[in-house]
Amino acid sequence: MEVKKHVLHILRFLCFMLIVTILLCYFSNVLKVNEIRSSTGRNQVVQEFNAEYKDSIDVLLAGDSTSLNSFVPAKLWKDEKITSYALGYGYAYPSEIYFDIKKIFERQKPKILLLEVSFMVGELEVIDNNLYCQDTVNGLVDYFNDELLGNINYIFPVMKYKSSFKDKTLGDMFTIKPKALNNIYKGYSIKKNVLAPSEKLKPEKNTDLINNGEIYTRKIKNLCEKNNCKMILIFAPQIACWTEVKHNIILNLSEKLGVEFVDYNVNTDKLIKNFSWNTDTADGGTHLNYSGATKVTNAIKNLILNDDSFCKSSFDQKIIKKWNKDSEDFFREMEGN
Amino acid sequence: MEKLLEILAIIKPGVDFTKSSSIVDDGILDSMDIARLVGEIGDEFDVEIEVTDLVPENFNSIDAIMKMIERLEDED
Amino acid sequence: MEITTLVFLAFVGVSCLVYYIVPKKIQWCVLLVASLLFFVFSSALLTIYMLITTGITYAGALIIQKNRDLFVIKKKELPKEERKSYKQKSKKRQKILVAIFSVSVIAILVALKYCNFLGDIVNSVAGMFALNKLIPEFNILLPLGISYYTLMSVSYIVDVHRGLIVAERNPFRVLLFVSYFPHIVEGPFDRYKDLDKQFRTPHKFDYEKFTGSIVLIMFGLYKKLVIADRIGFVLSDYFDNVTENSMLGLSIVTVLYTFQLYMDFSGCIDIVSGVSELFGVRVAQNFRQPFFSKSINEFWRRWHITLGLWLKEYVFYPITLSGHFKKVNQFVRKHTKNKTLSTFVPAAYSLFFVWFCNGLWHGASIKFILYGLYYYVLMMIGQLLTPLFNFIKNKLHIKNGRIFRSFQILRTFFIVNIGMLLFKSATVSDFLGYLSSALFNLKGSDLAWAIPGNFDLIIILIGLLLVSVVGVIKEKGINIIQVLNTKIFIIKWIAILFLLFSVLLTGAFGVEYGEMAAIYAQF
Repeated sequence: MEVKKHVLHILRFLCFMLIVTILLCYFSNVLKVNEIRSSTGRNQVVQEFNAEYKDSIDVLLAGDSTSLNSFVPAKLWKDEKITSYALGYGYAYPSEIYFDIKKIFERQKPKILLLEVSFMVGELEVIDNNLYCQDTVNGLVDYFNDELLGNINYIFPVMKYKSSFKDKTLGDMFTIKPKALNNIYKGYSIKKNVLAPSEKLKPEKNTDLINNGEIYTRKIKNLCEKNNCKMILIFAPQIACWTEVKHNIILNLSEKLGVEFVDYNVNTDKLIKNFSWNTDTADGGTHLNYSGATKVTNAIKNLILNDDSFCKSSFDQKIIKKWNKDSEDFFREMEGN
Repeated sequence: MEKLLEILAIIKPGVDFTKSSSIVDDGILDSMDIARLVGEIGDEFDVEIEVTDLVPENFNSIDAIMKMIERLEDED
Repeated sequence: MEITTLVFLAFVGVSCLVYYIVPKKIQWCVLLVASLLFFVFSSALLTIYMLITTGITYAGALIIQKNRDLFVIKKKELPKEERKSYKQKSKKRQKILVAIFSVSVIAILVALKYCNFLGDIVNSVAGMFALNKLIPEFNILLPLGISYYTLMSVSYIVDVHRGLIVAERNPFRVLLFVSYFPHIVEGPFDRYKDLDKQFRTPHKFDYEKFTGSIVLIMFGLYKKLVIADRIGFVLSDYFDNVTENSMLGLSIVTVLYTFQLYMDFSGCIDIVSGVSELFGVRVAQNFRQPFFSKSINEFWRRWHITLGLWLKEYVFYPITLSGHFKKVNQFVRKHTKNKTLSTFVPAAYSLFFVWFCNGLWHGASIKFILYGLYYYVLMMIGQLLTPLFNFIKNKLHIKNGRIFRSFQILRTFFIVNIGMLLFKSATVSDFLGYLSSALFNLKGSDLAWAIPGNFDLIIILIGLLLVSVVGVIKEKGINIIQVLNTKIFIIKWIAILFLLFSVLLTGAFGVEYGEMAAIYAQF
């Protein structure tokens, strides 16, 4: 009798978990649809990757909003016929970036990953200089939580996409195979105005890698190695969030991981031709405008071309055709305004 | 017995305590009332009420309160 | 480790698995290990403070127990004439021991939590004599739940002193009581007797009870993540951006905040109660539909119940039964013939300390002390005016019907909301500022900040409705979880699925909402 009861309970439990799984699949899908449809959205970029052909991206730039404004993929295609994409969003978390890159690797095989490091270094909330090992413990707990959350969202992104639940329409509830929208910007976020910097940067206290930045950078590196991708750490030019301390921190990290580190804030004149803070920033030094982004793209172009290990893929006609059209549309829009 | 009823009449006038057997459980006397009652009992009957005596069973009826007072008078 | 995170739920899951696999005799050890891990993962090396408190508590209780046992033995041996004086001596010694050990653990709490507050007071006094900043400000990290475990330790020591329990010889059992992870974050305050009995009972895995507890946990998560955090997010800009409060705006914001605090606190209590029940251990009840209260007295018997009980047992009763209090009593009697006054004043005297401590426990500032005294003053006034109110009520022939009860409930709700506004305000002057700005201000320019957007508003209203319905059912004495456990299991499935997906899809977490840590965990 006891055994029968236990078996019934186990069956009940499995049935319940099945229902939960089905509902999770359904809602993940619904939210994915909505995510694609809405024109804003933190997770939009990862969805838009689905509008690109499989294995058609050679260069991936990932980071927070800084990276979004510093790189123009359309230009890289126009000049050198290299396909690239920018993945980024404001207040990016290292774990988020890691899992998004992992998702992208499912359908794409980029040869170079440029990881823009602004999001992983910042001011630590150290109260007692880690006298009680509070930071270590917090970091560990956060890591486990990020891993759990990241892995669950990887399969069932309900919690990741739920913010878009607000703008739902009824049609979303019944779409099974969402179609990704094409994006001619390839992740680039346009800023047109010019605002020269006026304030001097306030020095931050307790600067360090934050939010388990090191662990996740290492994981991203391992992911890249598994996928024959070369990871390069870059620091996009910015006045608001760059300090020499941060430069040294990332330099140490790059040496630890054995990866290249290119800091565009050091020797900026040599690395980026004609760059000037008076003309190239949209908001006083945090984000670049189109002029600045174009110049940085040139610098990145040189970086890629000078890399011995890189050789761009030869693509099918359909991919070339798509990129030509997208690039044309992009420049037409830029010139039109 | 009469002294006790007098005290109770001051603390909660208009209530007939002789009829109830669940004074505390029904909330007729709350903890503030009990505190006042205890202060008065301590003075009138010259007994020392301990915190451990402050349980509902000792205060739920007039008889229970009298029993407790008598017990405390004996103990000393 | 926040209790609304996945990592905490995973931690609980693993603990449950181990708990039901090991031999029943050592189930309590699993809880002890889990509690210590939880503590270390929250407070790292600050755990030492908790261990020190436990050590003092354990040793103190044993010493007091020894004194008690000695007294019982010796009393029998002594001739009758000497018994009374020996009893007095022994009692005095015991009281001193209790005082030493209780004060020691409270001193640790005071030193860590209140040192800056005390320092400020000393500095202000010194300032009057033109002495500048005598005492510097310390940057102190508090160990997890220090306000909770300290008071529970005191309750253990005093309960041993009163003979309610026998001092525990196994220090690990005392450690389990002090550090028990479900009640360490936000309470409730448990008594040693209640928990120890359950820790010693063997617990067999009961599928219905287990899944019933999961419903409770999900309900708590719903209250906290869907309702409380959402309101918190909506209100987060109001006080920063609004300089002119309108009456309507401030009222809306205050009511929303009151609901936020209730959903946050009771939601977290539901989560930890549910978690504890997964192990078959029932913690004390901390909330009983507080907004149905018809008076403030009743409110504090329904809100944060265990704090009220602790203060009653360990502050109110000891003061009321103390020798010092007797002197106060006698003093009042000598100086007034009015019987009402002579019984009222002494009780009001001891209640002052209760409410002072209530306020002070919540925070190390004048504002919190005034928060406690706000209720004290209102209750004392209410007590004194009761004969007058009864007179008016009789004259106007008002009966204790539904209308009058509704009036009482609304009146209590109003009073509580004013108290919550004080609780939320940064300082007393801010509080007075909000009130004075809102008084007679009907402009309403702040409504944009006060009223949630459409989506948030709908979710909040649905949430409040659901919780109200549950509250009404519980008021009628129906134990919902028990009912779910006995009815057909599909109903339980629907409850869990609804709550689970509400949390997943409409929970106010993620980058957009920022992180809203549990409000009562900061104490």
